[in-house]
Amino acid sequence: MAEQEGTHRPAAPAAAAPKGRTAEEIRQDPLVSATVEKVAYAILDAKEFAGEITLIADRDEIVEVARAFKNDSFNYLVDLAGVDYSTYPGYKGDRFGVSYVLYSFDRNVRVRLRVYTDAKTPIPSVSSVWKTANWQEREVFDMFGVGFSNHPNLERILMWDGFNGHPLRKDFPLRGIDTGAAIYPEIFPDGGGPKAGSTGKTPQNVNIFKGEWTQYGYGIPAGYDGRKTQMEPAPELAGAVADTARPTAEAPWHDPHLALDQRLELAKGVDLKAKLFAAMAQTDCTACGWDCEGYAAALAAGETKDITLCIPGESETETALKKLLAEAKTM
Amino acid sequence: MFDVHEMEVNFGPQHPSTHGVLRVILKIDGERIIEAKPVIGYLHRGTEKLFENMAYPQCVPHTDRLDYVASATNNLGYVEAVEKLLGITKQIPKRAQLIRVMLSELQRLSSHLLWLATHALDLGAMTPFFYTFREREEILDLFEAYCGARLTLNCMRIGGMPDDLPDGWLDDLEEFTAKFDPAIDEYAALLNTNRIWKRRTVGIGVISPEEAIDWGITGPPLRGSGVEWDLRRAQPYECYPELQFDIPIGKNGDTYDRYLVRMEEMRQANRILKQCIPMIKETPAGDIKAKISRVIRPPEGEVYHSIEAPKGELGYYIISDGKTQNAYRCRVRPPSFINLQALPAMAKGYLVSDLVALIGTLDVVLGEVDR
Repeated sequence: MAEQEGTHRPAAPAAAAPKGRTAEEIRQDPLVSATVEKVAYAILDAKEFAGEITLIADRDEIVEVARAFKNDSFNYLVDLAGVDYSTYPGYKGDRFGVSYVLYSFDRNVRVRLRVYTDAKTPIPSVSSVWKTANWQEREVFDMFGVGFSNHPNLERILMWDGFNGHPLRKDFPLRGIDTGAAIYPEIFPDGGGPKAGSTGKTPQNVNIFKGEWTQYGYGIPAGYDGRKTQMEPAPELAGAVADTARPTAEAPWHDPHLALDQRLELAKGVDLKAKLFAAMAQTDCTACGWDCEGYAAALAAGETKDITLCIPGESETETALKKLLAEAKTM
Repeated sequence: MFDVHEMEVNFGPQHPSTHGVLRVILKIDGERIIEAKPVIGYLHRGTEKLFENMAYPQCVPHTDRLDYVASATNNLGYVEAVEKLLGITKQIPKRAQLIRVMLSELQRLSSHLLWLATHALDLGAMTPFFYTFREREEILDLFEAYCGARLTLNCMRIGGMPDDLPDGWLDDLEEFTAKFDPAIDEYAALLNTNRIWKRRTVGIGVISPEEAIDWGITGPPLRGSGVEWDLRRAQPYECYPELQFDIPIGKNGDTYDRYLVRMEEMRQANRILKQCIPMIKETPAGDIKAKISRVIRPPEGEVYHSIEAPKGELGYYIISDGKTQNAYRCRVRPPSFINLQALPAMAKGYLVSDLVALIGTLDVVLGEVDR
């Protein structure tokens, strides 16, 4: 079996081309010049790194370019890779790039073609030129949402049909998305994750998950200083009692089980901020945008004049706050 | 005449002969396959996404998990691609190169032994399984002696090797290489002229050289179709130019030829190992690392580098933006994924039992297909 007479014996590898050539010089490289001449109208630019030539081709002419290279002994499509350039430093241009690595058995060299496209414009498929492009283009479609026109069966390949989003896009979270929402719609609220139902067959038809990663359950985030910053108000949490709602030595009135008059009794002889604090509902529910102490501090410092924000305290708290603030003014 | 009954059946994903979690939707008429549609992705772990979010050296253990029965070659392809990006390919010491070559060739043997065992088992021959695992065990012991792991080796670093060879390792290797050639003769005696084996493999899944290139097939399946192309010879890396070995090719492009090609490749790998032992004894001990910066931040650029893995051309396409210690994009060009694509074309018109032979002869590993 160990025969030495091969049908395709590769030539010696070409010496690495020197660095720092201009696009025009690369186009004149004997390796590619003959082919580039034939499709010169479709070759927009040329780059070189580590002896590897990259030719930037016109997206709409890629099939012609590919066929020209195939006729010029580059008969083997090694690799077809998508790239999302959206976070590339200093990059301006169409968001996605697709690289085609071609190999010539006769000359034993590789050449890379690249086209750029945005999320909406499909690239003409080269699967009619090389059969191997079929799955590789499907993978690029699956991972990046880049479409390919005239592809025989452009379906997802690694992710399942109906999966939302394209994992290798830079805005797809590394931790993944919550696919539980698609499986258990009764547990996860609407918008809590990707929804089943899109076919995922065309880029337009894919329901891409655009929102932030949702955290279920509530509570004050660790390390949060309610006195300084205002959180997003969370009206749906009004009345929910947080873990922090416990009486302390400095604030014995910080107990949601006490009535308002009992709390004000405990807060006799302290400063205005503490008195206002005692008038709150003591649940630390953050419906106003602070915890109870933070809201009191904001009122005492005049950061806010709105006394109607304490939803669980209702009109009782509102009246008490009005009275306390009026007393402080007259004093 | 006869009423034609077309039936659609699922082959896999939990089927012992699909070598993992490959699912093939078969449209069959009786036993004959009208259409086969592979469904993959059951083992997708987003390795390429992980590569974008880890520093270059952190990615090496993750490459182990691609083709998990040939992790040394996965490591080799990755570290060489990063070295090419850094421009330090020529600085790797000779000793490190030789250790890399030895581990890769041992890995090729271990991968081919596993292929032979399971391929023969799928087609009804049980004895080769016991014979090949006897030798594979010794290879895994050699790996364990070198790096402590048997399957997921994580045995290479950017710029060199993590450790020098342990004492006595070369003697163990020499002992192994001496008895491996007779072992291959044993496997060959079981199968080469076995009438049942030949009935199951000769003329099954024929693929012409032109078609193989069109489908992008590489590795033993390409050579089985008569294309003498091996990246170790065509675009040599490490110290392969100094080593003597032949590239076996087939004539008919059927399953039997691919079997013979892999058998001969094992002999050639053993021949390479035998040459490496005296060569490494001439190199200074401990010279296993190039002097490179501890922080790996390659210049802005992109490289494609590929090596001859046991399954075919394993390529890494890395884009560096020159600003961070992470790859901006790291694409793996897995041989199994591309080779598997030709399965529907090869299976059409054959029997369901031949599909088992075809999956075996393509030697796909689903960890690499799905990444």
